[in-house]
Amino acid sequence: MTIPMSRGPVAGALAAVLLVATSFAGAQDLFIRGGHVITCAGPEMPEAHVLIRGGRIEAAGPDVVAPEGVRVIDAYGRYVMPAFVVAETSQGIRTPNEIVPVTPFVSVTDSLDPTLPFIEDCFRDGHYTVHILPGDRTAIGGTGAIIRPYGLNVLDMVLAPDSAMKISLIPPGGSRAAHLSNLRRALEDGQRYLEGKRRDAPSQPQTGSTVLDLMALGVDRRQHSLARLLEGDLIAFVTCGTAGDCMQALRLAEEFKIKVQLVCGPGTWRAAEWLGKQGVSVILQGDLEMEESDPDTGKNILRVIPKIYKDAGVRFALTPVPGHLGRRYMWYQAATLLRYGFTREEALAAATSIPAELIGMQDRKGDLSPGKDADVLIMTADPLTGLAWVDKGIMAGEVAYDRARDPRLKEVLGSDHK
Amino acid sequence: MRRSLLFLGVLSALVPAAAGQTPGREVWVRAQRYFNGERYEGPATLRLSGSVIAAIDRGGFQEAPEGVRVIAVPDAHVIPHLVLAGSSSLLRVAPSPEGIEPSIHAADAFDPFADHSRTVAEGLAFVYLSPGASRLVPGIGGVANLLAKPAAKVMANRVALHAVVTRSAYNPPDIYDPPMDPGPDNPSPPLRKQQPATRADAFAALRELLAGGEAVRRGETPLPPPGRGVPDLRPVLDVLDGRLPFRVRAHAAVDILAVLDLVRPFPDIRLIIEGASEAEQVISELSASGATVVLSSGVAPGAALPPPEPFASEEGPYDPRLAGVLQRAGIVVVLAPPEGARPEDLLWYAAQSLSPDFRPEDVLRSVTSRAAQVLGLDLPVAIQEKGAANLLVYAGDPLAPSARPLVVLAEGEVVYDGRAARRPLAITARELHTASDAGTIANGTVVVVDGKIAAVGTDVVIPWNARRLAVDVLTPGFIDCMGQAGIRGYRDLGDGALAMGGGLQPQPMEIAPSSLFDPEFPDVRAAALAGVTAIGVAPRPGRPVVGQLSIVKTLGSKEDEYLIRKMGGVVLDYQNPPPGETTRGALAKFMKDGKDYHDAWRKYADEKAEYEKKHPPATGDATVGQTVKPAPRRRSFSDFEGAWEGRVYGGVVPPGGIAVRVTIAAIDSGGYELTVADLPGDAEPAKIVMERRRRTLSGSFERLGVVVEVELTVWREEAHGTWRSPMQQGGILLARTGREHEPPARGEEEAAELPGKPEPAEAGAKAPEPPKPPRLIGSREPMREIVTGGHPLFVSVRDGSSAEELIRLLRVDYDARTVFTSPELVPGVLDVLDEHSVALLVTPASMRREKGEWVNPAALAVGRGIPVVLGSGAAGDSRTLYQGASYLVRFGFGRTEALKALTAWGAFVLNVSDRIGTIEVGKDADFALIEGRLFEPGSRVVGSVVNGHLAGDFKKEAP
Repeated sequence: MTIPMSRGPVAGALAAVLLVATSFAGAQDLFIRGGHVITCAGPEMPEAHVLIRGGRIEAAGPDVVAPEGVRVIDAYGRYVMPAFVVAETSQGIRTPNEIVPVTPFVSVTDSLDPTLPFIEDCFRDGHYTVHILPGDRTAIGGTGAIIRPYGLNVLDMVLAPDSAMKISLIPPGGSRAAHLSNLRRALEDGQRYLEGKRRDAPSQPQTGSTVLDLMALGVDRRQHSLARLLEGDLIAFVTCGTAGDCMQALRLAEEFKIKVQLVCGPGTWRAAEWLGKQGVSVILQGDLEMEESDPDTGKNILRVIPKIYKDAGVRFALTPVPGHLGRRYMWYQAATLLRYGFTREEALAAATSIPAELIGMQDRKGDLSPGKDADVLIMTADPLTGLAWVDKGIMAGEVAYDRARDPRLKEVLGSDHK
Repeated sequence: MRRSLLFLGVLSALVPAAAGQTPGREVWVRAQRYFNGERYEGPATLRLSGSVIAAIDRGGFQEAPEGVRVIAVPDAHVIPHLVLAGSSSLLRVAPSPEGIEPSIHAADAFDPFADHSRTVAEGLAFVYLSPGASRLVPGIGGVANLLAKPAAKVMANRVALHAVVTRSAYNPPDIYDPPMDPGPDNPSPPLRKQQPATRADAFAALRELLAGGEAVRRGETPLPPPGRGVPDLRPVLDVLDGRLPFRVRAHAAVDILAVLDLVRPFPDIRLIIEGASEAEQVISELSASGATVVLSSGVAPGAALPPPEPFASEEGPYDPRLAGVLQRAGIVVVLAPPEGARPEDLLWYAAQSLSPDFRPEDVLRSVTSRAAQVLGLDLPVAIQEKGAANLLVYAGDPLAPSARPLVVLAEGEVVYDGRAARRPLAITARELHTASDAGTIANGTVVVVDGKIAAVGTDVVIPWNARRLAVDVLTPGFIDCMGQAGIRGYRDLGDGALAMGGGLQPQPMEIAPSSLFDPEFPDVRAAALAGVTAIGVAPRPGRPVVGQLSIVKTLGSKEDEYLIRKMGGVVLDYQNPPPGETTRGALAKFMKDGKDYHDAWRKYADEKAEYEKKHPPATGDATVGQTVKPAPRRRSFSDFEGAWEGRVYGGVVPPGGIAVRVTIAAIDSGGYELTVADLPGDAEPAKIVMERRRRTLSGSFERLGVVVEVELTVWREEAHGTWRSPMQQGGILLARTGREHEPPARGEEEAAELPGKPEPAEAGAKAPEPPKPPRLIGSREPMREIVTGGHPLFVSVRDGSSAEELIRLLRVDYDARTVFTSPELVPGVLDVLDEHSVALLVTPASMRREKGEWVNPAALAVGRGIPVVLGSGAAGDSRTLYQGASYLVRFGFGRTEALKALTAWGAFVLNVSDRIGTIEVGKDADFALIEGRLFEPGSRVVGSVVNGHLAGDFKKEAP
């Protein structure tokens, strides 16, 4: 099913309707009754209940009892699971790529646009924790932010500002060596700035004004984030297009003592074995299958990227492919893994708990264990069959999405859609 | 052609060679001559141990002790791996926009994970990575070791700073440096112009760069931080100190002189001139400067040569004597292929420089030890004791034009063996079971050439280059007469686990199972590893006419490799008759229709032969006066009408579909009415009014409250279509029935009335019409093969009486080759099998216990002289065939018979004895390789040979 998307006043208004309709509800205690509960933190429970208190999971299991007065949501015949976590995307912001190749001072919180259809789709698709980073065409693209697609303004939506620095090793003009040389030079510039700052740092000025204090401290706003990266305060999300890029990324990390998280395109599969030996986890981006032609026989060889990474012992998180029918949904991506011989636990973990861990949100997101944020999806069917839709979405204990009342679906499918 | 053969060699040779070798194993290489980095020596045996050359035994060749692998090639010339010291097309570095960018590292653009095995197989191991030749200072070069693991492939990333003073570096692009998008308030900034546009400009820029570095070096100015338009001077400082060589690409004599002038004030610079085609003109200056020359040797095919005199010449024509002339003047010369050449052809291009002053040893030095010296790296490129075991083995002179390495060893391991691809195979077995009249040969050898058996016996000539294997027992490849390996399909076991599919449902007779067979499906490979080399693939029984059986092999990726016979038999089953018919009736009708169909075609063939004998077909153009009869015009719409029969399948319809009879008739409204009899759940025939568009009829009808839409595309004898209800969908397949009893179709009548009806050529000499071919019916085509070709019918029944009934029908009425596939009815049916000469197919699960007695159908049948064949059956697995036969042997089945049931009899029953089933000269090289004694506990199939290709793990490779 496709939902035609058009940017403009209608989208904005609809998003506003969704937001307003839900934000008045407020966090309340909920009891989800009788669904097939997939906690992603233990075995699946065919008929169990989930209790949510104060926006957090209190308990999940077959023996959980509903306290008096708590609002009960019936989920018999439905599947209850944690909301999906998108570990890396460049959607949700206007113009994701700068024209200047090195812009560490840029932050996506400045270009985050809640009226974009992407944000609205996140409700519908169950993507409730989304890590947004600048695009791939800029060598050092700036800092990203972890958001939830919910809130009255950008500040409401942001869960973690300045979550990571975006570095791309894919050369925009084709000159890989020059691209790396530029990147190295930018990092060396940052090192020089850091050395200068350490050398010339005056003794703790206290003017009471942040701006004046920063000026007095010699903080260059344009180098500040890069300095944080070099000091180990920020992690770099490094996009790799080829197997060689993966090696370059880890070399850069070693050379400049920075922390990196690899975001790997399909072309990186040859590095999987080596990455397995390095013991790193990666985020898979783009197509999960790739066809190559054997240079001798001309025969097409299908490379199944997740399978190759799994066999090499590399843990990975899946990401949706924006604009692609099917692959834009995390549940579809996870269901695809079954076809490659993954177990249900592995497939679901790659869409929930592993991405939560890779973006540093493992304490709050990714599964339904007690104490975690109550980001819960009630799906119409088993999410791994490829037939499921999000029926109700609960975000931090609030019913944020209800398919029966989705204004866009009503507009597209008519009012009597199921 | 040569290259494609070589690549095939790479494919087939790389994997087994690399996998079959254990690290640390001793390998002896017998060298007629070997190159020690300076000159040839030999003959000698190079004794490799692990990754080093442990010893070099000069003098004659000695016998190798047990367990040592010997590489012996006639007239073996052994040289070290080659070093490509010049720029190459192996790595294309896209140029940076900046004209002067000393901080770019070419090694950054090199992908160490790319597959370099083909380059290695051609002898190239160490490659210089050049930053390119289209900028004045393109960056720093590196060196890759293609033999290493990815993480270690880049050996050095700072080997030399490059400068290019040829025309290709002139006029770099202007730089557009935007602080932000241009707009009305912010007009586009001016483009930054870059040097150089002329030769003077180029040298001025280089001089400025070196002078800038020198000022920093002397401490006169601080090191400027690099930025836009400000080059990184750190590599320049290394060049000035002599820590980094300065490699300048220059061809013209005037450029070479200018370069020598440029570096003269800096005595520490280590200069390398790359290109240097006009070096002869400035030979004394070059010699005095102590510079090294990397010469482009030879001319790339199709290359644009520089314009001839008196036009401007920059690169100059290639002079084959140049290397010799430069060397005589005391200049160190290294050879590299010219621009645009294939880097793997390094040695071929280097050999172009052979001259009285540049001997073969000089050529080899210039691409091995000298090249390593110029790169400033200690590369393992000399064959000497305690040196690295990196060897290229040539059969004959490596500088011969067609020479290619036959065996490549890297660190003591064979990474490429070019002999394997076209190598004959010789397998020696303690027991060689031929399954033919020759019986069992002790210590016999079979020789395979080009996938066929070339010789069998104890005293056969083994070709010198044959790959030799030793096994305990060698038998013909096992034949699984009826199995389902390789049919795609998965079954969901829940919890995300998958298993292979539940088998192929009965198929329409038009479909050959080979079209559904995938030779790369995992169970096919597993069957091959279990000794099964041929499988009769068939649907599983379930209705009277089950479908075709195809005969395939278990190795090969293309159809001509794995397909033995598309239509190899027909499977029948005595159960589930179509509604309104008896099983016997259905099968009798099937056989009669088939026979009639076959007879009609045979009659046509006879008539046609007779006709052509009397009226030989015109071979040339029509002669003058002859009237050419136009083909009668036909209108297509009459094709629709008439009686049809066929099947509806898909959706809720049971497997195998529902048989239907359909009548199509034109109606007054201009459409057609389709009457479908035999629809389930209702005796009333359904009537569908359909609209016609071209050849397609479409309409809908309601049944049990559900609207079903039908679309049918009609051809002359067949109709294909779909049906679709809100929840389900499926297909329809129809063929005409009883047309011969119909009155002539309306179209033909009309055609006869059309004006312009052709007249006979000559009155009185009315030529008779040529015979008309019978109409083609896809579902009956297989029966023509059954009746004439002697292909088998596989039949299964549920009880003894129907067995007799069916076998009488097939054998007495039609004399068809018949295989009985219900071994559970043995011994009751043995009399009838014996009486009518019917073979018995036994599955590994056929042994059973009845009233306390063990019943072995195979042993009982063979005891009565009935041939027995083995098949894995619809639910079985081809891999169990050998164990199944062993189990039957345990319960009294003779070993010889068991082996024949697995091989020769199977081939006989499938009517493919001319190709497989026995080990005889001229047959396909299909074998099963067994460890231990045949059929005894502890014996094990270790693999198989299919069409001469090995499948399996062979430890006992003879040295």
